[in-house]
Amino acid sequence: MKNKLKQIIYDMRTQPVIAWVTVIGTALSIFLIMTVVMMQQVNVMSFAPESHRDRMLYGMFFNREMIEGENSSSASLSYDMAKRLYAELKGVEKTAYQTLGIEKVDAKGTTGEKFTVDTRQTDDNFWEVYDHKLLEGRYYTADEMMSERKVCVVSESTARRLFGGESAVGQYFELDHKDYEVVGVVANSSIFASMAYAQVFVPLDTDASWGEGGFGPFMASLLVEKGVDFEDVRNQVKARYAEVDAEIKPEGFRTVYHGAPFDQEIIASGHRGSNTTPDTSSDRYMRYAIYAILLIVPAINLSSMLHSRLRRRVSEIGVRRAFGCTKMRIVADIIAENLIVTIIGGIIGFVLGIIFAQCYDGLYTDPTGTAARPALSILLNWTILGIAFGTCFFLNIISAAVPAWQASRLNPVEAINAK
Amino acid sequence: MSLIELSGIDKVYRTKEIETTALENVNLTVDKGEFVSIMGPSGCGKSTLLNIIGLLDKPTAGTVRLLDTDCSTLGDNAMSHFRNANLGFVFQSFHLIPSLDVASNVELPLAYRSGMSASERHRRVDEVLARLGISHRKKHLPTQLSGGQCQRVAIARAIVGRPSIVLADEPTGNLDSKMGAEVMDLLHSLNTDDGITIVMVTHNEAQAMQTDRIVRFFDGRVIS
Repeated sequence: MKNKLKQIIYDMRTQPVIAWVTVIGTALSIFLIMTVVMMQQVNVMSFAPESHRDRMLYGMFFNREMIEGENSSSASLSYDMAKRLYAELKGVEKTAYQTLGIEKVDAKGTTGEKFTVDTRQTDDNFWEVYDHKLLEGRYYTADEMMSERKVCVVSESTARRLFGGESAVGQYFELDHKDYEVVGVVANSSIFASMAYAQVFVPLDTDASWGEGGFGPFMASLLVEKGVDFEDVRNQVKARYAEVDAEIKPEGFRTVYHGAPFDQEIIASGHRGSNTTPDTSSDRYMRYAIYAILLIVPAINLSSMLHSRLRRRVSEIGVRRAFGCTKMRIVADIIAENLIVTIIGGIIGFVLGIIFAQCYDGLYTDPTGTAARPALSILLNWTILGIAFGTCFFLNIISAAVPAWQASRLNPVEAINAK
Repeated sequence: MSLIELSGIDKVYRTKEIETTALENVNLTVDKGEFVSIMGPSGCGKSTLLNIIGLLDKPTAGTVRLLDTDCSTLGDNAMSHFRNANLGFVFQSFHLIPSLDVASNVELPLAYRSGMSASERHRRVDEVLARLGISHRKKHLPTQLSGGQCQRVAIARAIVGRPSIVLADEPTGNLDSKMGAEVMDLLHSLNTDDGITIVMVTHNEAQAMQTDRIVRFFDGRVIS
């Protein structure tokens, strides 16, 4: 190990350009891969308020088409249809209903500042399915929702913007030209918690719908019991589609089932099409292909760098062989040396990745700056560390294997006498 | 007792266009404790022969027996282990590893020997450096040494594994006469004091005359 470090330091002194290009190239590769993985991870892994992503299913769309004819409709759900399809499913711990997206509306509080906030309508179960941290007051109740009371829960930074330093609970402010009472304040959430994020939460308007046909602005968030197979839940939903199907058949329509409800992996893959069936395996293959390209392209460059470094050590390799070093040992030593260089580059790349994730506000925070960034602990987790280390390892293997193998095959006599 | 037995050694280098015979029917035996010089004009096959004895190259025909082992039958790994345990090399251009200090260079053969503790390796390195009078250069890099010191380090590396045979390819070729004489004294001391069998390729008649036997080569054949 000591001698390998000596060799690396020597390389850096005698072949600084090649050595540093190798380190920087590795660093950039790791940085790039980490950024891609983090962007993927932040959409898949659990973090508050979406603390149970591994147990979440999302019923987002309803689709129907004419039995005869080519007309078809697909959109998010009315409250009634959402309940019809997703209420009281076996194996589901809790079901929340909420608007599918966020709505930007104007808000004005006692500070007098008028600004746009991201609002979401939710039912009372929303606070149990998602893990918002209540800082002050309480959540609104089912009764308040049914009685259409104008109450709301606001995020911490929104409360500050509305009311300055004063306590927000019990205060009123103008939201979309109506007066709302703040009953609770929750911690800011990241926009990457795309299902749970909002700055102002208001009780769901159960009457909101888009005409007939079961369409409306809502979706269902299902917290599945531990150990329950998602397919069991999907089969129940599919059966409910069949029930709806029988009801709308006399009207000349039939339902089209696209595999709802979706899991977090489907959501993370960016599948938002309401009228297509998500294909997680092809999304996964595409993702793996991107990772492979991100690995192989720098690996080829690093491989040629290593080749150049080894060209100057041909004679040394011959001498080592003369003194009893086996071919396998030559390969192992070169790979080990290269691994050290790769890890140095990897650490630099890892640090760059974290700095990038924390500094690039456009990537991790909303433009208003009132949503939270994902905590560093979200980005710095064992998965990311494992991927970064694994990437270093594979990058090292695929970049060093060929030059190391070639070096081990050198004829000792020719190698010793090489200039 | 013969430590080195070469029988009917041929070495032919073939390319698409040309065939060059480097060694032709070479028979040679070297006894335990002998100091043998190999002489001959450039290109006559001296170094090729040394490489074959050192198991760094394979003959086209013939058998190589070292320490009563038929080395022609050894696989690559077995040859590496055999070299490590029994052979030491001294090269004309020293071939020290530039990134390693003197101690690490000398330690090299021991690093490839399984079952030897680090403390034992360091003890042996210190012992051999002291014997060759270069302990004070232990932490120096090869670039910080004179030619004579480099060759002492190379000799230390060759003997640290306590080999039975040391193969020296023009060990004084890159040294001035004074340093060359010192190196020759060192080799003679290893031969006489430690009983190491030495085969040395040289162009220096005077140095060859100091050895037990001179084997003369011409056009790939032993002529005397």
